Amino acid sequence: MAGTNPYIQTAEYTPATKTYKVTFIHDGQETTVEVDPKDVPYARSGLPGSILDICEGHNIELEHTCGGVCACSTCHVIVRQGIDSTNEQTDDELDQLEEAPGLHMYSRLGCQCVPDGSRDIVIEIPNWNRNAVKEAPHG
Amino acid sequence: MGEAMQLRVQCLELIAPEVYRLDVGPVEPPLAWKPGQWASLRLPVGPHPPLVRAYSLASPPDGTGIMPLIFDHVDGGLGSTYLKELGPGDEVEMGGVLGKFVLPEPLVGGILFGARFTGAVPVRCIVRALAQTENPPRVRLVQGARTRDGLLFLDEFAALDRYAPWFSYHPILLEPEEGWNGPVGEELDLLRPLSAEEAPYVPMLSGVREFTVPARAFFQEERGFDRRAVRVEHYD
Repeated sequence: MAGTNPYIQTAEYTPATKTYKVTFIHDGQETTVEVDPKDVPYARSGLPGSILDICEGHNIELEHTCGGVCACSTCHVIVRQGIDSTNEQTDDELDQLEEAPGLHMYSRLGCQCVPDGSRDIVIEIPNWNRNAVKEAPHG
Repeated sequence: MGEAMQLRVQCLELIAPEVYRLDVGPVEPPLAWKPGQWASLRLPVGPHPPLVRAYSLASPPDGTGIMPLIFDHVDGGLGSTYLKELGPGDEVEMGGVLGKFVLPEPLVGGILFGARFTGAVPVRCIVRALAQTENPPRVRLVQGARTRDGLLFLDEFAALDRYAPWFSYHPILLEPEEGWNGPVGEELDLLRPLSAEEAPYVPMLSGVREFTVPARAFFQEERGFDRRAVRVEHYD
C-alpha cells in the first residue's frame, strides 16, 4: 500500500524553504530538532517533509502501521504550536482521524501534516501512540 | 512501539507478473483478523529502518495461524524488493493487523465491489469469508486491470460466478490482448450501470487512488451516497 500518491488532495502543501525547528513532546520530555529543507525527504514514509518524515529522519519514534499513506490513524499527533504553518487537512485525513483516541482540535496525522517552515512548531506525540497497534480491534 | 511478532516465511509464490503471495506464520494463538484488513510489516531496510509497510491479507483466518499476504513488486520499492528475496524459514517482523475496509455491521442489502489490480486482494478475502456463510448477501464485483495478467484471482472469481447465485463477476480490461471477449474500458464503465438499481447496496472500492477517488466521487455525486457510506481502501 505504500508509495507516492499523485492524486490525493494532500499533494497540496507548501514545502519549507528555510530551516526551522520542531519540538516534540512525549511523556513530558521535550526533544527539539532542526529541519533543513535540503535534507527533505529524510525517509520514505509519509509526505516529504511531514512530521512522520521528520521523526524518521531524527530517530524519534512515531508509530505508523500503514507506512504513512493515510490508511490508518496510528501516527496521530497534536500540533501544540504552529498549526497555522501546516497544510490543510483533507477529507481522507479527517476520515482516519475520526478513529484516533483522544482527538483534539489540533490533531493531525503525522504522515499528512507538513509544516511550511515559516515558524518553529511544537508537536505532542500522545502516549497512546506507542501501543496503538495492540489497542486496535483485530476482529 | 507496539509489541512486534517475529513470523517465519512459509512460502513465497509468484501468482501474476510481479505479484507475489507471501505466507508467514504461524501466529500463536492465531490472529482473528477481519476479512479486508491488512498486516503491518516492519522491514530491516531503508535509510531509517525499520521500514513500515502494509500488505493485504488474501484469505480469512482458517485456524492455522498462517497469514497469506499479497504484494506487488514495485521497481525501486524498498519493501517489495526486500520481500521478494525472502525464502522459507526467513523471519519477518509484524507490527499488527489493522484496516477499516471491512463489511459494515449490520450489512443492509448487498455489496457492489470495485477493484483495480491488487485492490482485488482484500475483496477476495471478504468474498471468501462470505462464501463460508449460510446466507451470503448479493455480491457484485467489478474488477479492472490493464491486461488479463492483472486480473488477480480471475479463475477463482469466474468459477464462483458460475456456481454461486449470490455472486456475479464483471472483469474489464483497459488494454486487452487478442482473445479477450469481455468488456474493454475502465471500471466505472461497468460500475455506472450496475449501480443504478434501486435495491440497497454498499459500494466498496479498492485500489490506487487514480481509480478510487473518481469512483467514490461518482457514487457521491451521481448515486447520492454519503462520502462515508462508500467504503474505500487506498493502495498509494
